[in-house]
Amino acid sequence: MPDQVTNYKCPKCGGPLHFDSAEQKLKCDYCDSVFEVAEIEEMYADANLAAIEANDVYAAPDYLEWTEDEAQHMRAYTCPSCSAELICDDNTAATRCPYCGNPTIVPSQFSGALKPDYVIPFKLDKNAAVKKLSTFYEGKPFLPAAFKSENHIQEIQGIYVPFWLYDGTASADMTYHGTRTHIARTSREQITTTEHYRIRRKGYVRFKHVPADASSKMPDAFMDSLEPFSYADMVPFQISYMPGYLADKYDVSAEDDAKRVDVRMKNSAGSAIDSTVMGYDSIAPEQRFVGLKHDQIHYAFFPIWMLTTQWNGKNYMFAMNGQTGKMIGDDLPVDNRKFLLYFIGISLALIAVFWLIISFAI
Amino acid sequence: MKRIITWFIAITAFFGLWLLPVSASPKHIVDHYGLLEASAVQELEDKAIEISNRYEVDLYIRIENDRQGYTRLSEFAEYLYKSEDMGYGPEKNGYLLTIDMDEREYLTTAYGSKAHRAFTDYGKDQVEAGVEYELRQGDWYEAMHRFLNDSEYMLSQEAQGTPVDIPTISEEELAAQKEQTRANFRGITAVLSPLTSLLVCLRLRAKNKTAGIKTTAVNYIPEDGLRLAIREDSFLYRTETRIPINTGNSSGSGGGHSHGGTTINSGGFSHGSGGHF
Repeated sequence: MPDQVTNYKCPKCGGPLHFDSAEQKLKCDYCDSVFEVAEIEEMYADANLAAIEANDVYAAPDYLEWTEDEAQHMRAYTCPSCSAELICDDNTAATRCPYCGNPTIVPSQFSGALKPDYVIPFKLDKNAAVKKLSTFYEGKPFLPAAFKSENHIQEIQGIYVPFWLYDGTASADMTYHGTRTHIARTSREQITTTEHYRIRRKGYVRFKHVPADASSKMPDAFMDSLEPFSYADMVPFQISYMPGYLADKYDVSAEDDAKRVDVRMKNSAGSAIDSTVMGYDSIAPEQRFVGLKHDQIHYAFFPIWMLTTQWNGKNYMFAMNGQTGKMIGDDLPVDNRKFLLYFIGISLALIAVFWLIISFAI
Repeated sequence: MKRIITWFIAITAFFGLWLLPVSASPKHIVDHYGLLEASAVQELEDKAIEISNRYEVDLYIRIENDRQGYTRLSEFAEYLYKSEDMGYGPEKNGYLLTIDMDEREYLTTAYGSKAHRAFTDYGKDQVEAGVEYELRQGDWYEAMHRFLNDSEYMLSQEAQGTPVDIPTISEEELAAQKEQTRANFRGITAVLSPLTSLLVCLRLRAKNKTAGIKTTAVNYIPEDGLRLAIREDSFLYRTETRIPINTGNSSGSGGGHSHGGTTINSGGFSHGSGGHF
């Protein structure tokens, strides 16, 4: 029976290959040979196809005594390199064999209806993420000093996160009441003339590739905050970008994610139309209608570095945009003693300054 | 015949003295604009004469519509005072209210040492405040009446040796007042400073929270992504409000002068702050 998963191996030495963000090519872990993505993609086309077909007849091995629910959501694969059993959930698309460390791809998770349209390859590596975390603490005066020194990275993973990209058109029909005011002065009086206008704007606002993460494992607030991604680097999806990173296929449907995206599109469409009302001293909206029509939905993978740290027995999660380097994190702890000292210090400083001013000015 | 001519001249000269116009004192109330009824003018005239005789300072009102080429109302008022030979007694003490209806401007002017004592800069501003209020209401008779009444009060205060002027306070009282003001401001800042500090600290604390749900998608509108099919700006109507200008010289609150006493110009006149109505 053919393998259900694929290990990408170096054509020269047989060592494991991973996608190198600096080279933007596949690189051998052992001999450092580099290969074009297209070259490896072609080389593994047949193996991937065989793996896809093998997965179509997937059945849990008899010796795994899973419950019906587990069987529905778990998968067991055999590592092609060391023959170890890889236990994954049913969304896993790219992982690493915990025994031999070889990057392992599940091609069936990228095929058929699950085939992504685009991928933004990693541009920043693990070292960049570690470095970014150390600077992330700067400018946060209430962070406990010990947090910076004792908060050690427990885990760092490069993950291709599934996203839905929505194209859509919002139609808006808005009316406003605007005023223009002119002030004239004579020797006797000030004359204020106010002209009142009814303003109407009707139009269309197009949106292209509004992203929403399609993985239930990823906090929406984290993924939203890592935006924007630069679509200039977005390329048609190829499995060869995956080796060396983790990836799950989507488990939040495009219909479910659309609710969040609709709110964003409607808000921005309204603001865009608002911005065309100019030249008035005051503007008050009277009627607002924004309708929305989805045009196309694309499926894409975006690069994220996830870092987990532990401090005082609590785990903290951080995420870095693997393309732009933008980092966000869990709510960080607050040193209440520092907060109090700052509060007292600023209060006393303000009082001192004000009192000095009062003493000299009055 | 020579005697007849001599007698004729003598008799003519005798009766001529009665018939020739004597140098009559000017009217107290003159309304060239026709604002007031004749009876009202007479009533005001009688009142002005009564006050003038009692305090030996003449009160005058001139309602004009032609400044006769004078740009400033103060110059026109001085011209009127001199040309009409206004004033009581040898010092020519008097207090004149001049109203230019064409420019809707008014001014009070004092002349003579007693008038200057009675109508200090502060006192004139007080009188003008009342007059201006009535003028703005369009209550012309009441404005003139108030001028006479308030002037009478100023004269009575002068007669008692306590002319109306900016209240003076001692150095100690001034120092105490300042200290009280400082204490008040310090109290306010003692409350405001911690509140400001709290806002600053909360803002700094918010830096520990970096993740949040996005509610806009403005980054995903292409350059040509906004197209307007209808763009209408229709004029509906126009509204207008008119506010009388309270010029810096206006004495609405009697605060035109910050120092006590009376400011007398080189011509011997002192003027109020005046203003428009």
